[in-house]
Amino acid sequence: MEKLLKEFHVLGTRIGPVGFHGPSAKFFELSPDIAATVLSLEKDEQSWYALPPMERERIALALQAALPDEPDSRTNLLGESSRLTGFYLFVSQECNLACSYCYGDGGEYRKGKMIMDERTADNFIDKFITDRNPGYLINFFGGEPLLNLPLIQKIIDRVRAKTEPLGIRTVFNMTTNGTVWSNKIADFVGKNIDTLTVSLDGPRDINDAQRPACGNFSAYDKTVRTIGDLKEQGSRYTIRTIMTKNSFGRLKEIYSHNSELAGKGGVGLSTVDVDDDHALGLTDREHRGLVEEIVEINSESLRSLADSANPQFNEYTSELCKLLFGRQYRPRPCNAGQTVLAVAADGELYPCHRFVGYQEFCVGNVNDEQPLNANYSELCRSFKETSVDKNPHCSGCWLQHLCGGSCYVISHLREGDVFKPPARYCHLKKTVYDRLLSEFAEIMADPARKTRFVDNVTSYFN
Amino acid sequence: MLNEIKIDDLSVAIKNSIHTAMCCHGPMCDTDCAH
Repeated sequence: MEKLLKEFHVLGTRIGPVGFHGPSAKFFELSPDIAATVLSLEKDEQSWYALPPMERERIALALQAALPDEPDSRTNLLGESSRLTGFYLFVSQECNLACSYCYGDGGEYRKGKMIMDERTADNFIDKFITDRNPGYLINFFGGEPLLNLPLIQKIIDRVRAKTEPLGIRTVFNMTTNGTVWSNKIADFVGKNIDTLTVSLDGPRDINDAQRPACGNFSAYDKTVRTIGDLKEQGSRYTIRTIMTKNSFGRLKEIYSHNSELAGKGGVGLSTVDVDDDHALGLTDREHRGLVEEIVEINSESLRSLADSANPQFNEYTSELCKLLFGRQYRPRPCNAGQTVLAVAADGELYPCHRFVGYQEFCVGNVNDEQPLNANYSELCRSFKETSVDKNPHCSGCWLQHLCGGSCYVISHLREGDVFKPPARYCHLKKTVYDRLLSEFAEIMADPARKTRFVDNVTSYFN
Repeated sequence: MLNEIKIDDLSVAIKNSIHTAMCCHGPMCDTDCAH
């Protein structure tokens, strides 16, 4: 009975209290007495036991009766495959910027400067790009990957030569700071790279203060010029923005600045992940302030879908629509180690790009005869089996099926446990979703707004 | 009986969409990992 109640979260909306049931992702209008009981249980388990048994039974039966006998068929947002089809290739572990918050240690990942050589790239292609999968996704990563453009060109040529005759499609993406650029590179990118992620932290004063160049130039000026070329030549790209102490109180300005540059590809926002004593680290007060700003930006986006013919999607509204309209759930934070591996410049293999350089998570090397070590399958199994419903840190949370849990690496670094989400992460997710789900329920209860919302979502995803 | 607020099923359109999360690596990790 208590388990069922804990699956509900009470949303305060303009149409009265609404219960959101996590496992089924269904919304129910609640009577005030039921809402008050569920709410009190969310805050204090003892209050539930203080109720007379008959009352407890009446409320539990009312909630139970509202749910379908058989759960809806919801699909896993991350898919069920465990075939390795997505690879981050660290073609360059050096960078021409010196971002002070870089989790990759200036691109060197605690190993010193290096670039990937042809032998390593060839071993990767020989061992991991095979005829056994219908498609692959390769993301060129760094450091700054464009510092090793000749190898990128060779890899693309060799992968295509191997896969295209077999009808296998490979998508090539790149994550870049956009400061290593020329007409020749623009042309190459336009013809060969499917999607780029370009890092830009907002207006010049913020961007250049935290993304200084190794040399006498403004990273902002170069990156914005590159973005202009990408826009002009019709390349697909997204702007990635890190929020730091400098962003506090200016997030709307940053978001609006970067959205204008991003166009349809949108802007992805992430809070900085640094030690507490770092100059750009956020205090608890600043983190809470940024969360409020994130909520406002996403709420505005959600309302634009219901009220505007020219809506603006962003990170959480896009994710929410996929999960709710797409009948999907997120069992884990991501596919690290399941379908994804990172290949470091020296050939070492890790579950994803964020693990690179943390030796305890190294799962092999493409230059070895058997590239994957025994610890790979153990780690992979552990990630797969510790889905949110099995993870003791997440299984009691009403949001678990939409959230999926926190990034393994951030959890490891901040909490010493890959499965234990930091409190700030939970605060961010719960605060954002509480507000967005409330507004979503209001929109779905209003026929005219609902129709416009569904039309906008349908045309966006088509 | 509680009154359900119904949501449309757009799963086919969304499943076939080329749009991925507005994330650094799209379908690879499909999450808002911090990069």
